[in-house]
Amino acid sequence: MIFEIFSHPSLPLLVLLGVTLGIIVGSIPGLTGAMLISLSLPLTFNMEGPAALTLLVAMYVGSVSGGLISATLLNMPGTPASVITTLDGYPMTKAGHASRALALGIGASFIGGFLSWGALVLLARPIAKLSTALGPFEYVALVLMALVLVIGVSGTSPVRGALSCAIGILCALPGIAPGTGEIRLTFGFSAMDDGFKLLPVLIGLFALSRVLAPQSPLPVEEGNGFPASSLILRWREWRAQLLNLLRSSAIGTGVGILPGIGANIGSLVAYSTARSTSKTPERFGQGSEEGIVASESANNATVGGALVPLIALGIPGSVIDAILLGAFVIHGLQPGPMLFENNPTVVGTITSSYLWANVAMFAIMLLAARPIARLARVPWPYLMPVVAAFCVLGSFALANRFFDVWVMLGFGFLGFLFDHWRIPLAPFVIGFVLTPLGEEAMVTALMSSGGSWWPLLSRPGALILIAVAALLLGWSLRQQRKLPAKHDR
Amino acid sequence: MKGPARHLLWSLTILVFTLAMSACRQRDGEAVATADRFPRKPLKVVVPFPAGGGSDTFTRIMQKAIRDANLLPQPMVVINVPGAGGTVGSRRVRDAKPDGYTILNLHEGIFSSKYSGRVPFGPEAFRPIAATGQSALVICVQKDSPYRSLKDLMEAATKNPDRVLFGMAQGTPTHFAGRKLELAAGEAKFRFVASGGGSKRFNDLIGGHLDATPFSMAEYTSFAEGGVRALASLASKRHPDLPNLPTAREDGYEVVMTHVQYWWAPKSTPPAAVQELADALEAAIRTDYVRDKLKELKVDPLFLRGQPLDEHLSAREADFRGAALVRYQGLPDPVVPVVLAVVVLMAIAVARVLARKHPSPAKGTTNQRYLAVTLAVLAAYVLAMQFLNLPYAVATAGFIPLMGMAAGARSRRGMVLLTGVGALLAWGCFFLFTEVLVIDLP
Repeated sequence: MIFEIFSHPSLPLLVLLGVTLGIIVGSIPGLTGAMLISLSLPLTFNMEGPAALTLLVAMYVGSVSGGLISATLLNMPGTPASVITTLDGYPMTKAGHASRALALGIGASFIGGFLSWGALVLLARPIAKLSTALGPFEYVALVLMALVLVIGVSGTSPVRGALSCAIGILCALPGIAPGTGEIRLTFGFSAMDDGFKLLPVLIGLFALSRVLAPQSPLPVEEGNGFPASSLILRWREWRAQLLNLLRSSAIGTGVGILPGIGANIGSLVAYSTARSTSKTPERFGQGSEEGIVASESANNATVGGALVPLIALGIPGSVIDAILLGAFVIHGLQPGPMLFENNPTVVGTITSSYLWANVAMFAIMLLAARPIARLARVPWPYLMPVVAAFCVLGSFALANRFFDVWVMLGFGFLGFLFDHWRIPLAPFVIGFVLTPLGEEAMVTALMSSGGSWWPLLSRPGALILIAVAALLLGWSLRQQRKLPAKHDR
Repeated sequence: MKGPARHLLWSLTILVFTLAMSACRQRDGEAVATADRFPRKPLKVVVPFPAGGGSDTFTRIMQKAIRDANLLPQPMVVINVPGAGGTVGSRRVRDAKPDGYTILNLHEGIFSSKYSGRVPFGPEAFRPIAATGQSALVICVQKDSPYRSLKDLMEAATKNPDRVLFGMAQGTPTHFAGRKLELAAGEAKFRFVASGGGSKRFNDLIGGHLDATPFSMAEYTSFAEGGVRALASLASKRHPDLPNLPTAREDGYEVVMTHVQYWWAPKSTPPAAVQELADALEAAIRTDYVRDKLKELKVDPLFLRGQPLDEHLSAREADFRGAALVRYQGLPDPVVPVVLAVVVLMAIAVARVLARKHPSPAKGTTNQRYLAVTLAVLAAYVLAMQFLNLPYAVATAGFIPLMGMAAGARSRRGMVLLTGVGALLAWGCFFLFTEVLVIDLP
């Protein structure tokens, strides 16, 4: 579980390679980890099974972490997982605390990944069994709970937050309706049969929208260099965040285990929870250190969480795990509950490569953060065309379609308009991501109950989640009222 | 030469170099082209599902066999075009140039998407090349389920109609399989639950949220030890590795629902090309590598082409045609409430802005020009690649300096830098994404 990757000299090298590639791709707005991994999958066919899985897991860890760099420095999340990090990372950079924001993000990523590795090693099988107890009604309740959390990322105007979320839900509706299988809202345009995909939408909203507006140069930090202060924080500074770290990592791991719910929801739930329990909720969205720590520890923890059902049951916990599942089959490994018994070395290699990928990520990010941060100081006219070109390439590469590129451009324009009208983007993403999950769960739930909503209250699991949602709603509204009454923002 | 002229010269040199490189590349392709008969350039196989899925894995196993045994003079590249239950990819191949260089791998999704009403076309819109590999669906229940046989299950569904929860993915063979079983048993009625793909149904089955569901043979073997019990396979005869698993026919239900990987070419592809492709696939499925892999996946190495394939296809199509799916009624329609919510919230937001006494300070009018210019350059870039077939590398090498100018780069030095970066990036990405990775860039 710990030292298996040192059984062969090539494995540690593959970890380094995978993490480095993952960080690079993760930090480039427009390119994402899922893309890197699905495109690299064919390249691993000629490798040994353990080597291929080590490389892919390392890429996964690297890409989830790399996104925080561009999220913090450029306000463009490099991967969907770091959308929430932009909320506080970029304000810190604007205030001249870029290096501190990076240090917090990198450290929190490492700790989140490490804690979820612990959960993976110790608790994989019991948790995986437990998670199957959650049926469609529990999923509906869970999605409702997550929707409530939108308030936490709405900035100071709940109306605009709700509007953003509603538009997000609307944009998730075109395509094949779950349940009936009918095609809706495509206006007879067959390219839209599959609706708008998450990645072109995110790339457009967060990366291309910034390309469409001139950006002012970043402030230089106090001191001569950039970043100025050390990237390694003292233990004393981490101690203040200890509870936050443990809680956010636990939330991230838990969310990661649930199939189909990704790293962005994990970081959202952790962020909102941190905000509701914080002594200074008004700092969230203005450059709160707690916010960065919550978001980054949780998104890395989802990686370990998502590996739990993959290893214990053969159920992919995330989009990237679904690709890993393909790698298992190609390499003649039988994924499923017997993997532990039949291939203990493979399981050991995966878990140990996950651990060491986190260590490698921490080391590489610390070394690379300074040069990469300097990239952010490249004058905008030189940086922007490259970002734009990657946005186009990245959207095309998802499904080899130009349609996705146009979707990306369209949502880039929408993101520009949102910025202009000061409508927050994060609630849009939450609505967009949750709608298919929620609707599918709702359809499954209603079909299994014969159309009755009653099990939502009669099943204990669902009832508890609904109660938590109600509590969170009340709590967030109370906190919202406590915020300084500025007009809108 | 003085500064400005030198910079200009540099820019020009880089541009010319880029153009020359791309011209050479195309010339290379054509030089090989005249040398031989079909195929004279790399073939594209469209897999209409994401990387890592069952179809993708199967296609890549075949691809590896073809490459390792040199069964085709040109490489075969796998391109994933996922979306809308495989119909985005199938539509693309249907509309592709019928020259045999773009083909499709699609299982019975080709029937089910037609007969569930998702697309108006089915196998008749293509020229079939071959059928490779066959496995059957297996009807499964939870380990502790009271149903000991398919008969138990079907009798329960007859005695208590609409009580047995049957998990399936809407409009796929799993859905058709359930419907066919109902029809075969006469009065039986399942309560169909659209749980989704195999892993999701496994999760719901062992969690007790479903009573029964079909799995593919490969899924069943991977889930068997996780608390799943098979009642019957929907094959025509018992699987040699699972001699104790009866077929549905033995229990008296005439239902066969197999899973076959078909290869399709656009409708008017020349027969010679189809022949050549079928030869390669036939040779590939006879290699030891593919045999071993298929054995691992419990897939029979079926191979059909020509007349037997046509007969097989029409028989299967009749199977799907006969099982009119019943759509679940009474699901709430989210479209109207969501549109209403958007309109109402927008009205409130606008009203609030208008009600404010001091309107927010004007947002700099120069932004609008910047926005228009950058959007125009981006649109021109994408249009040039999509409709003018401008190669990716050339388009990108031109796009980067143009976009830099749009963003305010004016100095000559800056332009040289941008042209250089553009050329480097364009070629780097092109090489990386087409040679190392497999992306179908123009």
